[in-house]
Amino acid sequence: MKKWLLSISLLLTAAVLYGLFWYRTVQPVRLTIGIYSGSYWGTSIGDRYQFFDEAIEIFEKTHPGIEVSYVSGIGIDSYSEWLAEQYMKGQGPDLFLVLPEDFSLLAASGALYPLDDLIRLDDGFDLSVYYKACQKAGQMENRQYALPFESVPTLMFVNKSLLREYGISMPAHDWTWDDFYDICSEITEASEAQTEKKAYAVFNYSWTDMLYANGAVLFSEDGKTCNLGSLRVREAVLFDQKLRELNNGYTVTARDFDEGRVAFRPFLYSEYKVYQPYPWRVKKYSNFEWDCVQMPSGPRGGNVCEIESTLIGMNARSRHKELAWDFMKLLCGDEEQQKKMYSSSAGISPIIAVAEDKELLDNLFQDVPGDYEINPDVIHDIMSTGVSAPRFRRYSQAKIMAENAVDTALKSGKAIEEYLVSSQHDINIMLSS
Amino acid sequence: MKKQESLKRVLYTMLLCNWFILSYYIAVLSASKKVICNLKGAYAFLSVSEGIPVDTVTLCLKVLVFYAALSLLILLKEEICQENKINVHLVCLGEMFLSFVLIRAMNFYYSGIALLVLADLLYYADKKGLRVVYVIIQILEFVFGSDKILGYFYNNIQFSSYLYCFHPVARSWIVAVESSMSFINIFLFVIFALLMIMRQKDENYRILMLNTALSRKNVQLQEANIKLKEYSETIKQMTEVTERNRLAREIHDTLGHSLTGIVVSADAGRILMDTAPEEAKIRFEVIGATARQGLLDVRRSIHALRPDALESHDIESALEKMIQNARETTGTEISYDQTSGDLILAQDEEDTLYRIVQEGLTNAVRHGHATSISVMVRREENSLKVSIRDNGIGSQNIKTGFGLDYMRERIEMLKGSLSYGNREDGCLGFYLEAVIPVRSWNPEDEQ
Repeated sequence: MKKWLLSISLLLTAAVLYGLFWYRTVQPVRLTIGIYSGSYWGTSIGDRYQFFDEAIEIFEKTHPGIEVSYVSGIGIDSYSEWLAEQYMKGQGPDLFLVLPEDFSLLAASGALYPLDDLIRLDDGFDLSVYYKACQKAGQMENRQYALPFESVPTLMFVNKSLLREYGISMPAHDWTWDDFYDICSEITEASEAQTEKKAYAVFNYSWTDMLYANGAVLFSEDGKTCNLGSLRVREAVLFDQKLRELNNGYTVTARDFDEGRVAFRPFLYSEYKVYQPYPWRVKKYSNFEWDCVQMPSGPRGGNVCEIESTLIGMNARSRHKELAWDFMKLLCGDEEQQKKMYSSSAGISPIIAVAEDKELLDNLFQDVPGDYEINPDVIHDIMSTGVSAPRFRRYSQAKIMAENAVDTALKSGKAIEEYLVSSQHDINIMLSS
Repeated sequence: MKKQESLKRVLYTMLLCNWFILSYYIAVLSASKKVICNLKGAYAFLSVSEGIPVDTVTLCLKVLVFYAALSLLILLKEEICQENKINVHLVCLGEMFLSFVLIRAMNFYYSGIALLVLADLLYYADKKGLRVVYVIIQILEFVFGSDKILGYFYNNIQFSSYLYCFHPVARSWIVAVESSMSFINIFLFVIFALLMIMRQKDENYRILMLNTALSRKNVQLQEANIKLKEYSETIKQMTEVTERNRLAREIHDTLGHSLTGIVVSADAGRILMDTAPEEAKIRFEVIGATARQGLLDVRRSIHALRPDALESHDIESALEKMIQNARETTGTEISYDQTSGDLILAQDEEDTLYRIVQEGLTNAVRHGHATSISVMVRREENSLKVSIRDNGIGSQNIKTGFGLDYMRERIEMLKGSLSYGNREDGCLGFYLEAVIPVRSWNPEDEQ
């Protein structure tokens, strides 16, 4: 009786295993990708899905028998939640776009598959094709968890009309904080006398934008220590304070800026790219002439800005890692695809050769009137010196703590340095717990 | 045997209980995930967790496969092992491996499976040293397999994290059910262990009783043995006495009677020789007749002492029967090779031949402890040559006993010869060779 039972169960097991094997060979391999509609930076030129559809078509041609699919209609606001739900429900997509703020969470929780082995074994692939800062955006604790897909640096918006009004010439790309402050104080002083249509120097330019230009980093790369009290950071905070004092307590608003009454503001490259060429330029800031230059450099740094990158990561649970890697390379590493992305989206390609392609840039900015400031050399300067904020698990929390500390210090107006050092201590305790 | 049955019943209940517990955990996990997704809390859940949530479908499949394999091993191990010790160990190791894989697959939320396998190992693994190792490993697995200890190192999301999405009342109910199910499992294990202890105790008591009975029987057996020895000694003596009496009576009846007649007739003959020679002649004739009669009587007496086998069979079948009998009674391998053609022998020659073979076999088995004996009977000119060889231990210094002496006497009476000793052909063992002249083959002797 028992022997009979044993043989039956063995037979059943063999049958089930064979069935599973058979099912897997018959079933076509399906690769799923997770993408959002629109652009992370809120501005978009082309159709995002069209880009992916074309990439999928190329991939399916070179990889017969493989189907690539995605779910459309996920907006940027609900994308992070959607992705988390996919993980919650089970497998999740094999490949997906990773937003900059989600990267550390996904990498630390083990949701992303570390790519180091795949990169090492792939002779045809080299990380050095990317700008250093872009590549680092996909790195955590010295492991590459994602490849950069699209990058956007921060530039300084210049209201050319306003400057001309006050007889100030367009600043050069290698300007400094002192140059910046001189222009600001000039504008403020000159407009003091005016009662109507007052002009303001700067909008929304805070110490966090200044850090990188002074060679400072707020957190160490491993996310274990905070440098809030360091000299370079303190200098940035003090410069912020100095600029604030120019306005005599008045807070400049977005409305002031839109009306063309503000000379400078930090500006994302994506907006520049969308609103500078015709026809979009008529949609926004059409009542004045404007352009962008690099960020002014601090006493201890260069004309360095922060670069944000959206990434593509691989699901650690993916069953088709090799295929996913091939597709990932097509999206992030193939120059043709990146050129397409570059022309259809608001960002810059993280691949050096694509980003600085003269022909492409000329094509992109052919409708920009006059002598446009952003040319391949400038792009090269911005991108190769730019910095990505270090990513670690508690980045957002630590950053909020630091911002609050500086806010409080600036508002209290006294003993800023001491206050920063003690706050640094608090943040370090949080980071090491 | 009744205990055995109840042990098995408890074990199977544990098997069922663990299945329910595993299903319960998976059900709670899936429900929790659904609730979290419905509340749009997946991202928040990920941000506060230390890992990514388990995939319930894969978990379900893994648990199904591994638990089925474990159950099969537990239910069918007697069939698989067939008392083979290596198989037993393989099955034990397999069960331990499966229990760890299951606990790992369950993300260390539930380690009660270790108890199930521990119970099974206690019941089944008999080899003392290894059993201790197995038991220790399973206990460690049970204790450290919880998500608060080992799970912590595996970067897992703790089970309790999944429960925060539920209403507090529901949460406490879920926890209550979880704890009581785990408790039932532990309770079953305790019952199992108690039953095992009781079984062990019973077993020990039974062995003790058996031992006592055995030693009592042993004493009785020794006593019986001594009595038996005494008895056989008595029988031997009685047989000797009876035989001696019979011989005495025989001699008295035959030889005594005849000799008395001869003595009387001889005396009378001597007296009558001179006076009545005719009469004396008659006396001598009487003496002759009496002596012949006496001789006849003696022959008849000897005839009465002949082996039974020779009485009822001819010599050839008697020999075969005896050898067959010896094979059967002693278990010795005996080869018999008779190449001298039809054996037509006189009675005394038959007797001697029979006794030689009989005595040779007896000595080979009794003194030589042989396991293989070869008996050869062949004709050499006008004599019969009997040789008996064995593979026994031989004899360092041969003491001729009653048997060999008697044999030699018999053979010499027939003008034959006897030789014996340790084998000299390089093998261990004893040999015995007798040459008996056969009168019917020797025309001179016949006359």
